[in-house]
Amino acid sequence: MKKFFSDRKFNIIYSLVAIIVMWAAWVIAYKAVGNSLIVPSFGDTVREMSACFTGADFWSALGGSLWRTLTAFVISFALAVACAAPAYCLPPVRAALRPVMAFIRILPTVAAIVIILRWTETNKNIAPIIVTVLVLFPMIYAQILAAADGIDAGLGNLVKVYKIKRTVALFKIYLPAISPNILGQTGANISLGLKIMVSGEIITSTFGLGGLMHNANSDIMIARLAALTVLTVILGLLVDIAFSQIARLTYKWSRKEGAG
Amino acid sequence: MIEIKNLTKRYGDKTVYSNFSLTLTEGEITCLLGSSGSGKTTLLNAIAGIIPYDGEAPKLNCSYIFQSPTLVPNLTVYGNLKLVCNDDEAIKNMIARVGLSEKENSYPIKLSGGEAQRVAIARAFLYKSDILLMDEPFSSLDLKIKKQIIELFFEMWKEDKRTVLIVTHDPDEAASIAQRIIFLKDGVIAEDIFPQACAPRPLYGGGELREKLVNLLIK
Repeated sequence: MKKFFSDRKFNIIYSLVAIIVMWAAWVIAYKAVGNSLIVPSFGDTVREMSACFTGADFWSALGGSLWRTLTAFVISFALAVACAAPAYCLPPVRAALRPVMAFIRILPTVAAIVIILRWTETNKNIAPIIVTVLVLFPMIYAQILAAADGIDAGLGNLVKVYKIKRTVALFKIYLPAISPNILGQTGANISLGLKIMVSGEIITSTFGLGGLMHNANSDIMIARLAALTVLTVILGLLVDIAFSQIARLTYKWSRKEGAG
Repeated sequence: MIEIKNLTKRYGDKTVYSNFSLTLTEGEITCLLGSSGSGKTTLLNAIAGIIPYDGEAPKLNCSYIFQSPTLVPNLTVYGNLKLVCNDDEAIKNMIARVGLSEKENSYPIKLSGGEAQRVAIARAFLYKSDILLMDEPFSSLDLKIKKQIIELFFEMWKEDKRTVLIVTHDPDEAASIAQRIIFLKDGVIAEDIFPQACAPRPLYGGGELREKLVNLLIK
């Protein structure tokens, strides 16, 4: 019995139990509310999910949302690196960026979308990208700084004493030291980016998963709306898991097994 | 001779060294002994150029064996040595010299504490330096491994004969390997001892020298 609770092999069972509980909660809510326009049935939702897979517009919309999300992530990452590098090396830069990052981080997302929509009336597609960048950029900046701050100070002394060239130190010591943390969080960052992007697409009626959700809501197709929501969640989870596995396999030097 | 002149080092209001001077004989193992907080590591780090200071110290190429092995975790044993030496044959010979041929492609996470310190010793001797600095390099090792590592270090030093400055608070280590023992207290040289018997002397062998060092530490 004790082994059942302590052995990590049984973790998958706990996850399955949690999923079953969420499904049961959905079924109970559907029956309790008794109105499919508020809580659609699980069966109708699954049928709509199947219909999505055979619809051309779904795959175009999915591709559009993913493309915009990845674009926003790349922009956010580049900006974060550009700010984190000088902030790490120069304390005044770090101090100067602190209130800026706080402002961007706390900015209400929906308010930002509405404001940016006014600026980008001719090209609504840009607004969700900008908002996603506003959410991801300060987060990735903080992650990179935290990873850099966590580098063993002894490695810095090693570089100084043995006069290791800066480029060698950067590519063989410092970047590998921070990259497991960064790669490990990339999946979660992209998932969050997808969530913000879809929200932005709903508000701006941009063609994408969010646009499809907006249309489903307007057409009072609640089961389709729920189906698109579940599919977005599953997509986000798959991205998160994929990057976690890539990080785990890539950095074998950080794990005792398989490290030679 | 390696001369350090008028070294002054302060941390805020605390003065660790004030016009401290020291002359080291080349090719000699000098041990800096003192209690915790006596400034031993500060002196080593100043010589190595890790921390700034006022005063004159020669610009030396230093090898450094840190208290923990400080290996780069994402590089193999071979990769760690490649950082300080481009001669592949010399690296392979050194890995064999320290008894780690089977671990050449292993990452540091797979090495025991003693094995990791062997790599650190290999790195220090592989690097062409004027002086080898060692900051309590044996303190984290258990007794059996410590004896093995000290013996390995001394064998390698006998072939190499570079100047060594080793910091320790362990009187047994100092009594075993040092050709000169400098006892530091409050940033000054309180005692300067030249043991009569040649190094290495037995580790944990006791004796007058060891007793003298213990008495200095507990005074």
